[in-house]
Amino acid sequence: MRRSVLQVLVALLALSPVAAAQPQIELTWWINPWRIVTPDMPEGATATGEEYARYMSEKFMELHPNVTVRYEIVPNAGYSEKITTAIFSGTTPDVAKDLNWNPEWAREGLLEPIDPYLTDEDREDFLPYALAKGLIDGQHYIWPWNNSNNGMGSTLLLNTALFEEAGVEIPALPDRSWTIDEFLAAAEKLTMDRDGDGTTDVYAITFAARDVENMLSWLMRFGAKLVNDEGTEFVLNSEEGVRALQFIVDLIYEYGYAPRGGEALDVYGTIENLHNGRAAIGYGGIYEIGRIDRYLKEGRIANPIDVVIAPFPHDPEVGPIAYETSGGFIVFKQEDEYKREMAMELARFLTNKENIKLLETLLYITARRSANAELTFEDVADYTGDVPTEVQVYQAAIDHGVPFFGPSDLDISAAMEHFTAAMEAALSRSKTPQQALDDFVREANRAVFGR
Amino acid sequence: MSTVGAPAGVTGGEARPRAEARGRAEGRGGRRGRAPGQGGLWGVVFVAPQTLLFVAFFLVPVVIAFALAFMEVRPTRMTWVGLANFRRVLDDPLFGRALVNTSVFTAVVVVFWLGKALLIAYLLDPMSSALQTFFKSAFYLPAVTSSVIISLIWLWIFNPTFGLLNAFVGLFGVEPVAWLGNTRTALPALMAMQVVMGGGSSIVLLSAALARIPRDLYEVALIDGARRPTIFAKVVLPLIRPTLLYLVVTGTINTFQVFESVYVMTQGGPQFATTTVVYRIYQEAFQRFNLGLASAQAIVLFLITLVLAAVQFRLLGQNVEY
Repeated sequence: MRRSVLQVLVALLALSPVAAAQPQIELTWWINPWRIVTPDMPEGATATGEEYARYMSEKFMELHPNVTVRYEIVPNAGYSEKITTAIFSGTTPDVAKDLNWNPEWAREGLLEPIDPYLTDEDREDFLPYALAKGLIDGQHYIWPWNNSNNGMGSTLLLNTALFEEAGVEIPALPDRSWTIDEFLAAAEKLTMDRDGDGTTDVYAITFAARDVENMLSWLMRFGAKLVNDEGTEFVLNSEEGVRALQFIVDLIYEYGYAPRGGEALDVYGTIENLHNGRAAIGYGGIYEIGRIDRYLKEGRIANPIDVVIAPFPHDPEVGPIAYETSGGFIVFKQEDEYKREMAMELARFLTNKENIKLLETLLYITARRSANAELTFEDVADYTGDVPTEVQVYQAAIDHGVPFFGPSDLDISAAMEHFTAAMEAALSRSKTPQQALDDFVREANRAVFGR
Repeated sequence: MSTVGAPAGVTGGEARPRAEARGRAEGRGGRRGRAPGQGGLWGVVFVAPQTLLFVAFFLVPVVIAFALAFMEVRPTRMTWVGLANFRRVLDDPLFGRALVNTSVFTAVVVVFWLGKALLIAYLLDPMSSALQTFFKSAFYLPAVTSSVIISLIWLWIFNPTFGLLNAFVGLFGVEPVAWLGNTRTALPALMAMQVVMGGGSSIVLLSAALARIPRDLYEVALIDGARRPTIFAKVVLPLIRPTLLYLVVTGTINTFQVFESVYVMTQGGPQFATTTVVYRIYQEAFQRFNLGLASAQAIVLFLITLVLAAVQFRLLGQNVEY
């Protein structure tokens, strides 16, 4: 009896330094809704956006019983405002999704650099541009997580039934690449007046002035750039830029392949036109296949539409171009060393090879090469069969990714309202493409570079 | 003939109610035997919670905003910049555009919305009490509905592709219009929405004001040969002037702060045609983190509304007795 009591005491004494080294701490984690299906969800259940944060928090707390993770789901629409308010009120979370990433946060000393915590294996495994997104003044600030976005600016969705009705062949695998001329030929046939009443029933595509990523992608078709390579000047009013914008305007007004009124639409207008069959081509990548699947389950779409992915058409002289982007987690400045360690540990935990693969259920590709090699994309969308083929097409498209918004350390947010205004002006024909882009470049250079 | 509810100064009965009220108050005080200062102390106690909330959540933020307007505010530091933020406000062509948009929006909305409220209240006035209650409740309904929900509904109405409005004008052979995408129609579209949906509480207040007008005044005017428009202009309008003044002032101040519909429906576009002052403040503060500049813009807005209210009191407040 005495011996066993002694053993317990010795054990307690042995454990006490460990307990002292691991104080009870609380970590706050903000993330926007990611409808990831977690392993503990029932078969066929639709994620609401909270499951992922709950599941990962619980898993992390199992590994670190002394840590309480308080997650908060912040809606996309209010994310930027909430982060701003938190920064100025000194109430930032410990870990946060990098939505509306602003390089100024790092420059202002609000973030912890992650370099001391990145292993050589991490540096090798993370996609270089995903890691480079958070590179500010020689230090990294973002734990990469998602590679690419929902496909906006990178790929198109083709409604196979409408292509068949119009007698248009889907571009050929393996990458379904097509040229601008091939796209134009297809668009002509896809624009259909079914009953011959003089009103277009189906348009080939939709242009939306308030859809920045897709409009910018179109503007880059002939080789234009938003800012120069040095990140010192807006140059979208180049000959190539004006030609691309004129091409868009002509598709609407000259050829009638796209509906008028695009100056009032945002990206959801394009999605709606695809979903209700008013446009044969929509925007987005594999994630958007998941959106159709989800909308069907939620009853927001009456009939399933079968879509396949194709890259944006390219000019043979320029080659394919897609939107290179990624996202991840940031760690805000910590006073306490142990808390800093654990905040970094949480961010690392979310982005490690095993956990990053959960993005597959959302039809997202990850920022880790090793994880991507193991993703199969089997059984991730109920209504459509061959998702893996679409993933291959999508992957092939984003392999041609370029950063749309200039160097990662350049904050161009003040210019983008002028970009939208330029697109609104051009799509409504209140300005010529040349005037619209000249005005944009002048105002953008003033707003961002002060000249 | 009823004289119940006759407005002060009309029937010459102003002094009596005040005297009665004073007498009742003195009587209560006398029965309880309170010392003169005791009631004041309890008054302070009861007013204190509201005062504290007012100070904490209104007065202090306003004072801080005034201070921030003279500083460059970064997350980790604040630097005194004097009037630099105000110079930037004046140099910003988009703020000027926002001021013009807001002024036009306010002028049109307040006039039409008040006119609509007055017309409806005047039409409701002769109706039975039950009918009045029904209509007033119906017109008040939008006031208890979230402005964001209303904006979303109107977003659908104005949709260029499948919107209700284009479907309606299409019946007359009119081509679809991008109501919120056209620089000429976007602001008028927002104004129309505001006029149609607003005014519920104004109708209630104006109905109450109209009900207080003694019926014998109408009869006297009719006997004197006045026609309906003359009665409205010469009898009704002067008697509801205090209510009108209140509605014009509060309506102008509220409308000058238009934000939700712009945020939800146009984000200030197209081509800044619907950018308003408060939306611009929001952009500077929460999208670009320029709290100093945003505070300067807010102070400019405050000064403008202050001047407007003063002018309105000056113009409409003459000969008004409360």
